[in-house]
Amino acid sequence: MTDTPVIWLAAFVTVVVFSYALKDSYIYRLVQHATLGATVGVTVVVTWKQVLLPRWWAPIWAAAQGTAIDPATSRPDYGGLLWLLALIPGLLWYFQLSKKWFWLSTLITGLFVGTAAGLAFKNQILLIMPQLAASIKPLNPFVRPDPALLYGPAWPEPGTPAAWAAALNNALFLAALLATLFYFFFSVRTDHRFLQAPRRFGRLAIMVCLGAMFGSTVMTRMAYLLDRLMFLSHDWWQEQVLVLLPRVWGGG
Amino acid sequence: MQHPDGLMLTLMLLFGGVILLSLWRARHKLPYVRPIPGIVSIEEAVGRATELGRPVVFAMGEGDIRDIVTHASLSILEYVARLAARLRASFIAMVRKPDVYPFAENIVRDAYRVEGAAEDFRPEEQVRFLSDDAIVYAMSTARLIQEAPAGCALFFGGFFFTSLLMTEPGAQSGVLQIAGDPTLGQIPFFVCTCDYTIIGEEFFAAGAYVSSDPTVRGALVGQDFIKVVLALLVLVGTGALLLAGGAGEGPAYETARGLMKYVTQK
Repeated sequence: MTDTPVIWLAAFVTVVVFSYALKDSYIYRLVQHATLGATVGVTVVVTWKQVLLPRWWAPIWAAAQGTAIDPATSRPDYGGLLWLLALIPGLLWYFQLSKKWFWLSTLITGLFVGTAAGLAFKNQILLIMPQLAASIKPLNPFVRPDPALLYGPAWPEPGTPAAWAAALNNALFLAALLATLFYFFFSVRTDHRFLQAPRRFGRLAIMVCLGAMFGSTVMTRMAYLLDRLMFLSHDWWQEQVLVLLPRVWGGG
Repeated sequence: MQHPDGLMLTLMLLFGGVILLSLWRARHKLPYVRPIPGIVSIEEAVGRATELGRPVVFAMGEGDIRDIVTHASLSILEYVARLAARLRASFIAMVRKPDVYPFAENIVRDAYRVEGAAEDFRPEEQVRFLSDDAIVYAMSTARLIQEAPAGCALFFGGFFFTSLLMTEPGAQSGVLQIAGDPTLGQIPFFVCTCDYTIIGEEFFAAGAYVSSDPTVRGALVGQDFIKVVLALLVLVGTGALLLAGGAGEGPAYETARGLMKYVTQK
């Protein structure tokens, strides 16, 4: 029964958080602030224990003590002391606090921004190209395309209703794709009457997509809600409350 | 190490060249950018907060400084901070990531300096970082919006499951809220709880719309041109697939196969 206090606390916090659906309250705020404080404290400990201590401090300490051994030569390895150099870029961030030495911090921030720009360019290309190729879909219901040219499920038997349905589906996809791309053109005027129809269709496609995503996400949240309700009904009510009540009222 | 092949290299050079050409053209004539309702309404929201004497709360997204979305958010942060400084509105920026914090602080400081209000800038109050944890960030932002109470709240960046947690209290309190997120996952929640929502690519265009910087606007024109190229590639590929059918030979088949191999390689 070592988990008993934890289960009661978790049940209390869960009920208090649910109470927000009715009204904001002092107890809800108390729980919220307690969670904030606890999470900040946990983050500090986790950062030290899981990142800084094993990956940074431990190699330095082992090298300084001479207990780090190079497996190739079986001699003490002092390479871990090089991790001290990581202090230099790390400490550069703190020059943000100084008006006089502020420029030193721009060295590290500039390095970060430059890296970000380079990575973003590469990542965008790597992201777009597969999407582009996946957008190329067969439209002819009378021909079975070479499987090497297909991305996705196998193409149905040509000429069958299933092939027609797949071709229609792909045509709709292509139209929605082009219209959505057109909706996101910003440097051209799209108020011409001939351009209104594709723009509206693009907007409609986006809304349908958002609606589907909303439904999907709500379902996921419902799963979380059910998990919490299961916890309250089983772990807390059945295994804690119903066990405790007879002891309290029955004198057992 | 990955190396680009012929088509990939050609596209990278083409896209890079298009952007450079657009930047060069933008220097001679500032390109047109169509109005985006969510961005146009920021001025109204900040003005309303000023009239009410309540703070403007700006919440950055959850990406770090290596995320390109964060850079787009920072350009909008600059616009909003300048607007708030000009109107002498109280302004608070909430930052999710520690490596974004110094950038945000610099941008807000510069915004106040440019608007002649440098003496009004108080970094410890106006640019806040509490924890790297997503839930702490979301809850503290929501609590701030509710308790201040905020005159308006702006959410710009990539948000994850915390979007509803952040925006729901403001929606209940009747705070004017505007959100922008380039990824579509959280947009439906923002649509439900915010007065205006900036979706998808509009997010990147927002920075160009609020800026009269030829570089930013030129880049946007370049991106539009890249979209045309991508749409043409899809059309060419679909046409080639239609013509190639199940033949397995010929130029149409080779074209379709060349484009499709990027999928089969992944």
